Amino acid sequence: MGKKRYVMLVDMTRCIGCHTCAVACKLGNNLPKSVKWNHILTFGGREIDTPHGTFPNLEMRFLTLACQHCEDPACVKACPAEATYKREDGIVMQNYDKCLGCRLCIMACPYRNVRTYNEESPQYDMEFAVGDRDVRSQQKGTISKCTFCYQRIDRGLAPNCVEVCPARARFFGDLEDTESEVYQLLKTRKYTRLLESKGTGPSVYYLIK
Amino acid sequence: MAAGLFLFLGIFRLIRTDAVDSKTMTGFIVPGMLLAGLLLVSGMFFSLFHLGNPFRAYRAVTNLRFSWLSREVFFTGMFFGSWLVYFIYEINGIYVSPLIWLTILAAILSVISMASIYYSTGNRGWNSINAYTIYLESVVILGSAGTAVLIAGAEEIDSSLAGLLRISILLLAVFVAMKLGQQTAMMFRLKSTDDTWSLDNLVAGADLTNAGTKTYKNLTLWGIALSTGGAATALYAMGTGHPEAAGPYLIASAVLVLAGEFLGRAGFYSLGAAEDEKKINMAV
Repeated sequence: MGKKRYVMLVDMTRCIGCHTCAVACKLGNNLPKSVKWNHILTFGGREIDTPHGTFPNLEMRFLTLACQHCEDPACVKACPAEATYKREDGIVMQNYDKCLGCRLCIMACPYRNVRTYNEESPQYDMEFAVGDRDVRSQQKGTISKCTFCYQRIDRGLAPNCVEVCPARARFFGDLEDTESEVYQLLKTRKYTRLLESKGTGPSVYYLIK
Repeated sequence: MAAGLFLFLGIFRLIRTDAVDSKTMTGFIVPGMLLAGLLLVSGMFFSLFHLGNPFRAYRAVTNLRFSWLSREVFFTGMFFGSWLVYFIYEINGIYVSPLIWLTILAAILSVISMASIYYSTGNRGWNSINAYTIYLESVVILGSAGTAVLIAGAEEIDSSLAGLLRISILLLAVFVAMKLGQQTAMMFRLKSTDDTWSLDNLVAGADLTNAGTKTYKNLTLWGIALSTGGAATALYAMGTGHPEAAGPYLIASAVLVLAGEFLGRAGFYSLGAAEDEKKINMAV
């Protein structure tokens, strides 16, 4: 089999900002209270559910933001301990056991708040672990971020956020596979990527038409 | 400051090849070199313990190929190692000039690596030559201020020490003036991107927020004011023509310059200050 390149597509014409993907991410990866991997932004501003435009011409538009798993990730180059690394299939991973907690990856990353630093020992909302059994535990003094649910991908499943989206606004697959849904969608739909000018080559595509 | 101090004292030592028990050595160079080493060690200590996992710090040199932080750690380690060997030789009366050059080189490379960390982030406030000049100017400013104070405290100020004192003060004044001009230009050039709506601004990381830019300007202005006051005090001390009596003025100058540099550096870092997380729309 040839080399894979996993990408995620978010259909902005379908996203209703329900936050189901964010909740599924939090639960599926058993994230601590202060850790957020998947953010739902609104075009209007940084407060929750802020409409965009000038009254009376307002609209609600949503944008989900998590690690973009860039082709040329700035974080991988910046990390002094090689704790942040890129898999062969394109997923940018974080090795908690190597992470020094220097936060240089946060500085290097062009995207806002996609990485979280666990300053204190992880605190959870529940007394028992939830989500996927093989998800790694968070560590104090380390960085964590979206992993494209690698533990599910390695089992042939889709990431949690893709699986649960009620509006079917998320897609995931191998861009090297010309028969994949993601390949076909990018061929036929208009799309954009965030902060392309930074030159990191994000692997998350936003379908806009 | 360690780099700056070693730079000044190292160059002086390369010119003055005194015996180990001369007054210049025991009263000025040896204490000065010891101070440079202690400052370096304390800097390394604080750098180590700002990490989330300090006991994993040995991994920090793993990515020399790409990571400027790895390179900084490597060159700082080299700076410390060569300083230590040089100092041990020096206090035992063995003069090894290549070690001084090696230590100076390691110090400069460490500072350049430090500046490169910020330059390479792509943050518009850091992604310019300003990132390098602000660090390298600090090396000279702090080194010259520290050297001037050490000379003032020397047991005997002969003609060469008096000459070094004049050079230190002049360099302090020149580099503070350079910093003043440069930072003033930078303040006018920097524009926050907060008020310009775009999809990119919505998702971009810490990059010239309103708060960060305002903090940068405030801290930089105060920093420049204090450093300028320090340089002016040192120039006044030089103008009295009596190096032996200049001690209190030079100490005051060094304190002002140190405070100014501290504020200026804090201002530089504030350009990358992240937006308050509460203001950002969060999923959960």
